Amino acid sequence: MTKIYPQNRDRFAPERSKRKIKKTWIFIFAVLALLGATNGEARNFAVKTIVIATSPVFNFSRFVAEKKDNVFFLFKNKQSLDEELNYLRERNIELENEIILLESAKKENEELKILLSRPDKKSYILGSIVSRPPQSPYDMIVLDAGSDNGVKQGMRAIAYGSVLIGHVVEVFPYASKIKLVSYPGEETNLIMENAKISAIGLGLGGGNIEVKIPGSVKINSGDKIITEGAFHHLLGTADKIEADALNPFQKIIFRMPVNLNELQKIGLEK
Amino acid sequence: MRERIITDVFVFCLFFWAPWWWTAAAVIVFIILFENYWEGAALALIADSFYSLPEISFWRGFGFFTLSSLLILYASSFAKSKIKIL
Repeated sequence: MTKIYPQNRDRFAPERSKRKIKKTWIFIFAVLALLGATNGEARNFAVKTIVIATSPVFNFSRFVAEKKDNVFFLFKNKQSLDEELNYLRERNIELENEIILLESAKKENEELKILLSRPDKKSYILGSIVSRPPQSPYDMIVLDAGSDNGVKQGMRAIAYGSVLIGHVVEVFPYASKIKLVSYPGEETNLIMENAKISAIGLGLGGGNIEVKIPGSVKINSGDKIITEGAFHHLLGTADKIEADALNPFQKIIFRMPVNLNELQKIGLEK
Repeated sequence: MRERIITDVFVFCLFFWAPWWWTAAAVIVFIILFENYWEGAALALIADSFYSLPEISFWRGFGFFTLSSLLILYASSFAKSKIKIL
């Protein structure tokens, strides 16, 4: 008969208790996550608590990223800076010429809006980007402006004063989440400017938007796409056109006209 | 312990400055390498809070990253107990 010593019997006790603690933790985390996934109020409470607690760290990371860019700029070589400067000079002349044309159109637009009692005075709340794609897994931006700064859910997010990039979906005291127009499944009403046809843009993710319009409408690559409504914002320019003789509809795919990696601040339309 | 702290700092830096798939890959690797890598689940909870939408959808809603990390944590510890390599 084999004799079982008491020390041998309890040899696995610490292992068992360790496993028990681990199971308890997994259970607690899983219950929290499931509760948040299925119950709106529980989710809002958990999200608000975590976002408020971790916002300072996110703000600090943004500060460090900005400083890092400034330091790296010092080490850029002279030739590449020269090339960049020349390109920017040429682009500046180009844009100055465009502005001259746009000034008259803008003046006319303002006069027409005054005639129609729709003054074009928009004010914005400015926010700095805390997190953006590809750090965020979906087409979403986190801003450092929140309800304490007057941000409200549904506000439109505008870049460079004229480009619509998304709208506010969730607001916290010091932060807010912006769902980009390219968020998968997000629908945006738009107008193909040259063809004068309205359509619905469907977000595809990764900054891409798809529009389906009748195949008989003539669209060229580079045609402007703007938002519907009294005050138009730029959404992008037609990039890839997929037309098929067998399909009554043609598919237009375009990208947001802003580089999210270079974008620092966003205006939220009041 | 020292390696674990260095790893934690590294993963948190990735979370704030690198594309999300780098962080996800690093967390999976560290869950396999370390025992009870709870930091991964905590990070997933933060990611869920920051990037989930109010809509109730599993794929883009709250809980996707947290539940996935817990599943990997459990599967990895189960596999380790069976194969006794790590």
